[in-house]
Amino acid sequence: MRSHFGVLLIFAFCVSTIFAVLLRDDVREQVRFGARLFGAFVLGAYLLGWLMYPFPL
Amino acid sequence: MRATTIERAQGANPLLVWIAAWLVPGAGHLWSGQRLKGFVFLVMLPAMFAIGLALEGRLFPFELDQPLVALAAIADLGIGLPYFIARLLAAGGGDVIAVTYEYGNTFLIVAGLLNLLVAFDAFDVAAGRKG
Repeated sequence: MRSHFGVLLIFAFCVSTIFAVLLRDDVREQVRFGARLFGAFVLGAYLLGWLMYPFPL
Repeated sequence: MRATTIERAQGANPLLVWIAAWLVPGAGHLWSGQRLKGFVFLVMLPAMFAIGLALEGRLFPFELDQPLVALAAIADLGIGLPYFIARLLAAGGGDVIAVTYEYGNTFLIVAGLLNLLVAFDAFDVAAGRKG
């Protein structure tokens, strides 16, 4: 696995699933919370990547 | 009549539950009767650890003269039994020039820290503080 975005998706999926199961008790709430968390992870990383684009190290 | 989660959990010593939960991810919740949660943790946490190893991540040594390395080592150890199995198999050497090295480290460290969080949650359930 050499795709940065692919690794990001796997990481976001794993962490979202664990937090959703840990912090919510009802299965429907777990799915909803996990999906929102996953979306926030991916969208946040994508936006941050674009914001950092003009500022190379 | 089936015992509730709290009734089952209160029969167990919270410290023993914490140790079981640390050693085997998800074991604390399985012990307390929370099967779905326990099963998800049992699958996802070792999977994250294995992905970290596959991405050439490193299991950091306990070097107290380098505080950040020592903290990373503690976080790695948080996953419990999979850490010792990886050590026995001489895995987790890390390949610093691999393009996925830092990703691997992130997976290993986060898996350990999440397992500690899960273990403390199992402790709270066993202590009757949480349903």
